[in-house]
Amino acid sequence: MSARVTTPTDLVARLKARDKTALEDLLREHGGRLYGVALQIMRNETEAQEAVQDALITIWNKIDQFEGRSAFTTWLHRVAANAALMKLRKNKKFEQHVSLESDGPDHDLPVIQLADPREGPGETMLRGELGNRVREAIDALPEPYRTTVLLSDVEEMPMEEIAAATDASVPAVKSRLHRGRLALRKVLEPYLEQ
Amino acid sequence: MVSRLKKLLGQELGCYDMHRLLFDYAQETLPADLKAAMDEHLKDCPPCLDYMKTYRATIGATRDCCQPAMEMPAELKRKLQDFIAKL
Repeated sequence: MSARVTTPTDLVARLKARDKTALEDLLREHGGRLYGVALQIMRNETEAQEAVQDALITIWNKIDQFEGRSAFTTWLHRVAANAALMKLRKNKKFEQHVSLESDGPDHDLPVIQLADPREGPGETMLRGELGNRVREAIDALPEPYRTTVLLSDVEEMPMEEIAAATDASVPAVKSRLHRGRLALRKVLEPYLEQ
Repeated sequence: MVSRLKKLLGQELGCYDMHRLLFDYAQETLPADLKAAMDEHLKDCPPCLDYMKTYRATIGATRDCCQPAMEMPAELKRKLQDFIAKL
């Protein structure tokens, strides 16, 4: 039997009507991405799976709070990211000892240690290789910079939401994001096309 | 930060100012007058222009290269289906 295709509007309406089959459809259509968001933040498969289950509970319990001001998929990703962040914080993997004072250009940036590339940067560098280098650099970025960069520049969460999710002020989030980007720029500069 | 740098208006921005304003410039949250002053500086300062371009390219590369995986493990699917059935 072919799977039913559901629109976001239909899914939301059915979830609000407490239709459990809507949750199954949601998992089929969005589960992979929700797991991907959680895994990227948690970097641990077991914990990411727990975060997805937590996210599913939140979606089921708080669907009435979704008012359609953002796309439904955006809301789902934020719920998954928040569930993962709550776990990170609970497991004390999201340390927050960041000075806001040292905001000069390259001064006192978080340090990223990358393995030597097999091939140096250059015109022959393939897009896939750049991708690997970027992912490696993000992975090596210390917390809370790594998560802040992911939430902002990959998940496109607004600063205020990141601040709420990470229990930080908006200026702190901006500082972390900027310094995280500067640290990434420093190691990726040879590979980037301007 | 921006309000402090607003005092610079009327003066020519230097490279240090560019670094202080870079985040808001890239976020497109800089007030129009400061943005214009930044643009003016970037026009005449190739090192700052290169720096700003690589900063923006970093944001783009992060977005393009770090999209999360799209596959849910079979074990998780089973667990969640069991969970839904018990709701």
